[in-house]
Amino acid sequence: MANIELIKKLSKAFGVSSFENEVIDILREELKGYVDSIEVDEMQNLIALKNFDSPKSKVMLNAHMDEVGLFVKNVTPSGFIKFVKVGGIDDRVLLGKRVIIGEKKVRGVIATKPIHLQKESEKDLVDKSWDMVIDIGAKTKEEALKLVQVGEGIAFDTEFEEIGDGFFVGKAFDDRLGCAIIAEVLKEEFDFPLIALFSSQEETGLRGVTTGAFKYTADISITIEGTVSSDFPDVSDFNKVSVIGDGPVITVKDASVITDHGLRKRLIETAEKFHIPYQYKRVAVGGTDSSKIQVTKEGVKVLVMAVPVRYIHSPVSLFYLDDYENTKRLLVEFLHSLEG
Amino acid sequence: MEDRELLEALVTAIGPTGNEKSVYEIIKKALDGFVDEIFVHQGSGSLIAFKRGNGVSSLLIEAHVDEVFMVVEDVLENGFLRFYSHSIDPKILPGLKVCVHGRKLLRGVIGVKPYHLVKPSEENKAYTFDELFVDCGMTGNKIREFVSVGDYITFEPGFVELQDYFVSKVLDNRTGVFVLIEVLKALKRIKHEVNVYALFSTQEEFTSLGAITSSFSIFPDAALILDTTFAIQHKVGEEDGFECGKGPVIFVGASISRKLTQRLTSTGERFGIPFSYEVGVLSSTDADRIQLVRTGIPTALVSIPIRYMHTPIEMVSESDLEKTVQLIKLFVEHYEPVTKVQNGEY
Repeated sequence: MANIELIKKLSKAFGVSSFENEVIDILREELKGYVDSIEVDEMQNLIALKNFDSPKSKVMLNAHMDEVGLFVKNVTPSGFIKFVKVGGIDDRVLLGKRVIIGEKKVRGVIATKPIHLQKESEKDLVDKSWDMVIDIGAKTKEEALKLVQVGEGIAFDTEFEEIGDGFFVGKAFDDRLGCAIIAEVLKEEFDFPLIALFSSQEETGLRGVTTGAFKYTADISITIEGTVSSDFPDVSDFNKVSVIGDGPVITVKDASVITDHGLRKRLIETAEKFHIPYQYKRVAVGGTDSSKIQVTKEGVKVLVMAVPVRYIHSPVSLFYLDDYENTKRLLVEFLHSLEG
Repeated sequence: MEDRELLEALVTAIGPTGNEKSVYEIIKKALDGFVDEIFVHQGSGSLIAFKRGNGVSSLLIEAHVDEVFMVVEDVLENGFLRFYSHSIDPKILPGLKVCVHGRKLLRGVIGVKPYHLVKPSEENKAYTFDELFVDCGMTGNKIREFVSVGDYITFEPGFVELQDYFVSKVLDNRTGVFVLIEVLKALKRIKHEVNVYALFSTQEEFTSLGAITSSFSIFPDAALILDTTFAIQHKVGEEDGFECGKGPVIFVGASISRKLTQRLTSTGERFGIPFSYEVGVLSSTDADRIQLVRTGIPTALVSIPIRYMHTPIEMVSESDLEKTVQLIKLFVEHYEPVTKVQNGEY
């Protein structure tokens, strides 16, 4: 059974790129006693090792800890916060949303002009992020700067909750679902060396992974993601990328990598042997840490597998529990197939 | 602030236009022991509380209870809901959580295309209701057991304090409701001549049904309307808005009685309660309608400035709430009839 409490904690954790500390703390606590060592490197990657001294081929499990968000850019004389985006966020999801800012967890709202006061010509115009402000209830710049600092991170303020039939809503499922799956899988025993690379700064351009994979380089690496599912109205079937309920999404090629054909064949065989549903990622969008791992040193064989998630990079992403379970199961069975 | 819990209960209660009943329980509980009578108006479903004074004149104080809403327009084959609203800006909706009020309360989210798939040409096109949908995490067959066309959708409740401000959905106009309750509670300790009818009215956001029909029934000698107005905020300057924290806003225009309004402003001046004037022809509140009931009712309008009106992040200054309560309380305490006394029909 999925550890919903862990997913909830991870989803709620503040972890805008380069501010991954809370996620690190949760994972560190979760893994205590199940791995041989845990370290945090210069880039704020969390790396856990298990049986590292075994002479067998080394396997890396990878998921990124950071989430898309905003940084405080400056504060206006009347105490409103200007911001920049961190990672790929559509400006059109920002207006009227609640956010959490920085170390003091200051709450704020993204200001929006009342519909009553918008001129006809304004109604169809998209507000641009550089033109928006966050209101934290401060009346002056000085008051605001007592609460937040320039450069601090800003995350969506979204509660984690179950809705409908087996669905969960929250923020940052890209890629806290991957973090949760790997944390759960690390509690199992395997006879080969395992490197778990929980990477930082994926959303800023696959940055943390670069140093983490250099320090501990595996023979095989599997990246676990929460990936795009456009399984909703007005999207043609071939544009859906992945479909909710159809199981783990296996990448052949995305915008950053072609995964290893041999390993992928083994992954598919495992899924079929254990009757685990799976789907291929359609539409070559998005990139993952696997593309950086693949080109580390002499090269690493990589796979990418993901839980389909609707509305990623927005304040309200949504996943289906069965998809999470099946992704975890397929990963566990695949790892067992590497034993012996 | 005293009674912060009452405000929180009022704003997190769900009462879309035409379906305001769930707010009544909170109002009734808060007024228990403070009023002489409390009943539901037959014609409109509004809630009316009566507090007897020592004299014969009657004053109606009105605050509308209903909140802006969306309506299900279609249940799609795969379980997604198409919806519409006449009073909410679609540009704030992508990525919001909502409540769907079918045969069962369902939670849902308003979906949005992931940025990875957004074409550059789409990025500059604002979302309209044609493209938006609600996802309740249910398949078509399942959701049809609970939801049908015409069901209400409302913002997810959530109450946050930001420094001296409160943030929530429906501060328009549960802040008016809150002020009215606080005034009634204060009257318990005050000797007042005027008989006070407190009208918690229905359907302001659509047709003002509650205000029109209930005022017809009560036909008070005068009416004071409590509502919200625009605050100065990002992209709203002083030509359209009022500064938060500077007290209530008193309307001056064609749809109010200048005489009654003058009583209100002199009360403010006499007791040193700051206020601003909002000048317009009509007010776009229930005041415009109540003025025309029967042979006419002298009205006055007091508004509380709020930021980000008709969104889930409406924002109000705590001190504006307190100052408004004070002003209305003193106004009632020192009330003198403005017209020849006519008894209401209740």
